[in-house]
Amino acid sequence: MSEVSQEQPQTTEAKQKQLVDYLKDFASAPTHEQIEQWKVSHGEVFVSGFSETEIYVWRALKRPEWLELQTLQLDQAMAEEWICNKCLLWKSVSVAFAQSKAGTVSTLHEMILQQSNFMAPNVAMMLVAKL
Amino acid sequence: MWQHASLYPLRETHGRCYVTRFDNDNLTVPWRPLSLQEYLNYNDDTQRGFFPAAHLEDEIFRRCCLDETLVNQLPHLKAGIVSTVVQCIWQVSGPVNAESLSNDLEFVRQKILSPDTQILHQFVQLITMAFPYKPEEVYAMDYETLLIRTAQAERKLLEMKAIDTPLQILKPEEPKKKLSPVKERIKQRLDAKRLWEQQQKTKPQAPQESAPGQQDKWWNISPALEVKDEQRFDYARDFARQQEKSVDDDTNVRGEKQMVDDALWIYEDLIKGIAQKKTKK
Repeated sequence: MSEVSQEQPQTTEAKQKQLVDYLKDFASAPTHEQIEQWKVSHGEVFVSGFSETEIYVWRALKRPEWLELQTLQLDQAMAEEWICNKCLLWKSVSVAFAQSKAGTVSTLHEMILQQSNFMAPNVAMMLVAKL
Repeated sequence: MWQHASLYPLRETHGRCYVTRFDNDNLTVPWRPLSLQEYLNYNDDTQRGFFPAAHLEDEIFRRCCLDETLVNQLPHLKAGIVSTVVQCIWQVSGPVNAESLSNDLEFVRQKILSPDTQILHQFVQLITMAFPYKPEEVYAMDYETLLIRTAQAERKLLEMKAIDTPLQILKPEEPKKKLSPVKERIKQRLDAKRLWEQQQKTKPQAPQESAPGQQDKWWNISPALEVKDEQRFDYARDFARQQEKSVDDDTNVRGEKQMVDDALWIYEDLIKGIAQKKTKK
């Protein structure tokens, strides 16, 4: 009978420690304490890696920031960059979003909106129940 | 996956309402739909575009969300929670398009025609015809009061001749449709059990054993079928006569030769093949 090895699921703390260890090679990388402070201030903190050297740590968009964006009346590209700049907590690259790869801002913007609980109407209705 | 047990406290607190659940945030937002007037007003505001959509969303959320705590925490909520909840409120409060309106109306038509509750909706209609009740007031009555008002309304409307007949809860039995002669015969023909029983009743009795020495006929034969002995055909004698005739006429020999000729023609290829094998050996 073959034995099936089961990996123990990693705890959040273990994952965070793993991330901090990975980031410490980068200049001005956030420490464990700083990440915890971000969590207290902003709630959830997320990390996205487009490559081994291009890593972004960000948070979800808050409601007042969304309202502020509506008043600015920016075009789509500018609005995406505005959201990314607003929600970004740390990045491993030194280039600004304006000089980054073309899809970085759009992709990061989509991830931020998704984690901010924006969704299509048909998906939203699946979350509804009538008591 | 929804767990209904977790929704009971919400129902106890807020009554019959809708909820939108965000599992990632472990957050459940209870809300009510907009009234028709509110829906029309916000629809008008949206089309005019005078106010940013996000501000209208906040206003709708504050108006419809039943949890005051969440309303107070609105600045700290994720941006999409309010937009998503308001999307749900909007979908439930009014038609999305003409097709959805048609589908929704058809759904409600079927609902009030449901066999369980159709008659109760008719009671409401009857009472509002006879008395100055609003439908909401009738729906708020208890069952006993509803029946009393229904009987009173029925009597009043009959006296006023607004209705011809009293309400019929149980439909009268429809007369059985007369079958066509063909169908009637088919039906009778297929009733095998009934046929069997009829046959059992008319089944002839078994013949009684006759006394020794007596061999009377127990069946009645028609005189036309009665054959006398001298009229019976002697098959044995006729066969023997035919045999004699065939030998004298050499019919059998001719027949046997014909059979052999036929076989040689049919199995010609096979016979040639066998002969060739013999010569090769």
